[in-house]
Amino acid sequence: MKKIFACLLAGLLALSSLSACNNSSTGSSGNGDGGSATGDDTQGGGETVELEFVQQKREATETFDKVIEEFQAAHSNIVVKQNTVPDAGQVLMSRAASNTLPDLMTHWPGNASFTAFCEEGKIIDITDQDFVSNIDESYVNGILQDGKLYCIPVALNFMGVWYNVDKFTEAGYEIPKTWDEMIDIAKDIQSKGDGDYAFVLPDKDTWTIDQCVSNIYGKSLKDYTIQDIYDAVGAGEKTFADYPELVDAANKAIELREYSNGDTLSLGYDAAVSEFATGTGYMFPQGSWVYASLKSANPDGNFAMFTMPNDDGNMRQPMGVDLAIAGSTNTSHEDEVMEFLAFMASKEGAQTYSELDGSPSCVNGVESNLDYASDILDSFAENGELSVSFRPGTYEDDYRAETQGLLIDKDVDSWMAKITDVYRENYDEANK
Amino acid sequence: MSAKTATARPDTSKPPKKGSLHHVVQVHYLFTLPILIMYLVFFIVPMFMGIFYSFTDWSGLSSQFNFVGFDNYGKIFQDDDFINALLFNLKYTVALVIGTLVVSLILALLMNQKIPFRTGFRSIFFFPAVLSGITVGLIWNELFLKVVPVFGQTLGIDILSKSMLGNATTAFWAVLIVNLWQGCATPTVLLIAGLQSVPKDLYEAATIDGANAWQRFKAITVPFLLPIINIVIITTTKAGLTIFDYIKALTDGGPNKATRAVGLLIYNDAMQGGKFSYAVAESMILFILVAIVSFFTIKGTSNKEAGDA
Repeated sequence: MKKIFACLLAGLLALSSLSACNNSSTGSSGNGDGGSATGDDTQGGGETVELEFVQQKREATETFDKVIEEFQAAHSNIVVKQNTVPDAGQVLMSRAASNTLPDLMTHWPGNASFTAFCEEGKIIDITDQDFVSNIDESYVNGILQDGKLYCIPVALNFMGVWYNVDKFTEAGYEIPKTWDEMIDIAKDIQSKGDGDYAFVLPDKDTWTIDQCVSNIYGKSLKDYTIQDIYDAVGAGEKTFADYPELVDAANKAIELREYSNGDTLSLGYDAAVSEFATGTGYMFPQGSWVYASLKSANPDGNFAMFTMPNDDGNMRQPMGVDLAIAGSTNTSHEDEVMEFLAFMASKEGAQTYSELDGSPSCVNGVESNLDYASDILDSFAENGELSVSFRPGTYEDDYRAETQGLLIDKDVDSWMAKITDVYRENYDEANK
Repeated sequence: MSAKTATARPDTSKPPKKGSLHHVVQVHYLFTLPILIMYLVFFIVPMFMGIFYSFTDWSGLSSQFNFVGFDNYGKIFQDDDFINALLFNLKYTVALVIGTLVVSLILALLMNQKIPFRTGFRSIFFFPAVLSGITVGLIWNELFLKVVPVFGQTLGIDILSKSMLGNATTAFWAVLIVNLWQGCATPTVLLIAGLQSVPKDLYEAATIDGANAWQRFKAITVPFLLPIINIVIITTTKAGLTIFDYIKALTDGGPNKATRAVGLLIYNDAMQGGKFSYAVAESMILFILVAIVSFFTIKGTSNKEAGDA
């Protein structure tokens, strides 16, 4: 009897362990169910339609509040409810799996999950909509998937180095034009020894490390794009170590850590933003998306951006599509969803977004007044290019963990070998 | 009931009389029905769906999938990430069980003494149990980043002067500390209850026989606590093997995969990698592991009770 009891108890415990896993992954979709259910509700007047909008870019929450306010003023019968959740990418993934995607969502074109959503017909195809013609054609072409457009690219982003203008002026530093100039400044700051340091580097969140490395090599890739490199490595023709720009970037990423906040592996992205906005760091290698957060962390701060320099001072300036909006085929209000997408692609909607978010717009005729990045935008006119690369989703996670390892072990050769292996493994898997 | 039917032969198909033993037992079964149904719908059915999907190549999104037999399982055992995560879980579980037992026993013994503010202390030490794991993780995240290093630097302790979460070796212990901070609350309360059930006269008799404090603890206290220690070991083992929330909030598996537990690996494979069926197969292996370990813990610990020792 005791044995049977032991068996049963063991089974129950093991089962409850599984349920714990289930809870954590479906908890978020449970939430979402509630949200999309309200989408079907018709309110008092009987005509109001509520759309659920899962918005992934936390920095842009307030910006979207304003944009939605304007949209609702023009469309009194539509209520758009913005829903920002932590780990939104995973939330959308689990909602896609259970067929409960929200009416509207923001996503990143080129992101592996989003690509999969589109392939599985979960996203509305907007290729033939009239409002698409408002968007700059080159950006539309850059994010087509099998010749089809699934999302409105709202804004562009670019990587660079944020710097504290007041601190730079006070110390009499000029904006560095080459890598060595930047390192000289860093050495000078470090030599002051009063708690000041050059670079705020959040290495606890692995995605920022990924961005930091691509921030460096992105300026030097001239004869080929990163997508070309991925393709050649995937096909087995080359390894990542065959590209001197990547080797160089790995070494430079390690070098940056010498002039940093020190314990970089314990600093997360959010903490780093407030650290840079209010602390003693001079420079913050990051993307343009951090603008809104810096502003809210320190409204009086004076921050601007320069191009991440390379050795010869002759830099490319890749731009990415920052954020795009898409509608799901799951919606029961497709017309209203289209209204909102049209508004985001319109000059008014895009203008509001661009001004508040501080990002260049993809919509024709929108004036982007980006004082903080005039240096970068000037160079974009000559050296700019749209860079959207597609890499297998399973690769990303491993690559980022390995790159965190690079900063710990500082062994570039072994890192190169590892990411080549990991990439090929995932490439083969994805192209079966 | 009419006299007519009362004289008829007893009909077994009729409902049993109110108040009869049979009736009472039936009602008891009825009471278990709601939880049984919920258990079936939310645990058993998904589990069988999981077993089913683990034999396919379903991505989580695709409307079509193929049966691949034991392919997923075969791949898992060649996957270094999975093996490493499994080793992490085993190491972590051993440390967690030992840590929980030692810390909560010490706390329980202390708070069972006649010390001032005893009730107050008991409430304070129980408080962490009411917080959720993620909340606790986020709070400690900040503590490790901003508060602990200040103590470390002031006291000149190298290991504490940097955030413990930023180092591949110390991150393991950091997660363990946070887990113990919260995880010891309930065992402590259980052990205090156990200590109060030990008859005082046994201690008196032992003292008269000349037993010292350690002998009294070993021969009287421990045997009476055994049933509770068993429960603590079993639940902590399960908690250790399925650790997820603390790690998600504290390190997200980093630095450099050092704290990537199986639970986190499953989550990442399913949510980021789009390898749902593979992730389900991983969780099936974890399930079997938990079942085996729980079986042996229960078997190994349930033999002894007070008086047997």
